[in-house]
Amino acid sequence: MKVLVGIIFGVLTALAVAGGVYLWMEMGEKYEDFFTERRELTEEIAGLKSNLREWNGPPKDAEKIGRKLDSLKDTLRALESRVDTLLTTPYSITTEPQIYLADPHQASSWRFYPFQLTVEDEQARVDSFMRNLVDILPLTRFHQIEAEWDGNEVNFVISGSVRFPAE
Amino acid sequence: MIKVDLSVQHPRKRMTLIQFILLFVGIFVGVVLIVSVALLLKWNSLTNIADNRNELKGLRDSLSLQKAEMTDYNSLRSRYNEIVAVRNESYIRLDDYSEILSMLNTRLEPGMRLISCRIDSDSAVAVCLSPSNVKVARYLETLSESEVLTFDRSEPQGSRGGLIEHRVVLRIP
Repeated sequence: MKVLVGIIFGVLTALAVAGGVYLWMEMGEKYEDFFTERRELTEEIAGLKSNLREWNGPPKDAEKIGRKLDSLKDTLRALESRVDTLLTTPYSITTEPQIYLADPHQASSWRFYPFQLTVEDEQARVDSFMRNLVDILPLTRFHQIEAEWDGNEVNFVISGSVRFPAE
Repeated sequence: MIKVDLSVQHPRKRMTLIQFILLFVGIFVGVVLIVSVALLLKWNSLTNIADNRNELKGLRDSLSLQKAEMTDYNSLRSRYNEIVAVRNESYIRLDDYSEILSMLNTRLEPGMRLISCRIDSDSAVAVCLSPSNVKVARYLETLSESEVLTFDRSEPQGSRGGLIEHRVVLRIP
């Protein structure tokens, strides 16, 4: 009988020790995982903090700039839809300018519309035409201007591009 | 010889079953207690580190949010600045072209005539007629005095209507 009791209690004790060891090891593994995760988090936080060293929340002008940018984009989008007519509209001189508008191409965050205009008039009036063009299409860039004088009249071939934000 | 056994003879006591069971229960309870205490201590350190990790997670999320806010603002600001810079550059370039065109005309020496010109972003080529090479040299000198143009070279191209045709190459700094 005593032997039987000894065996039963021996088995029970062994089970309790084995269960304890198993739980200890399981918790140890979990502890290791948490420890590694905590170390990674600490490193990530240090990186984020160094990025945000001089950041004290969005500046007061953030909303204003956002609104300005949106309105600028809306305006430019509206202009882009009629870029070909706008290129000739500011021309108030009697002679109709000839316009060659190439297909747009995209580079980085811009869409370019290359154009070539041929106009014939006095230099001052062509100057004012170009200025009006930039007033109406503010992102116009002139790449090349060729002029040929014939008395008071000047024959201008103006090449350039109008760009618009791609998005 | 007489041998005297002085040891006290005790009757050998045998443990009863109850005592035997109690001994084993005691050992079992002791072992269970030791294991439980060890597990409790381990559990405590585990919950501590888990709490610490959760706090750090919260901080990380809040910082990530701030970083996203900062990135958004910076990209907004740089996009706006980029568009404004392109717009300003358009005007500056136009002013430069107008000034160069006007200078090429107004700085001609008496008797000289401008026939044609081509202005690019970094150079200007003008073809002009002049009664003498000296006048062309003076014309180039006056053009170079401005900060807008610098003289590169001048090539005579023959004569037209009694005037010397010159091809003048100027650099735009």
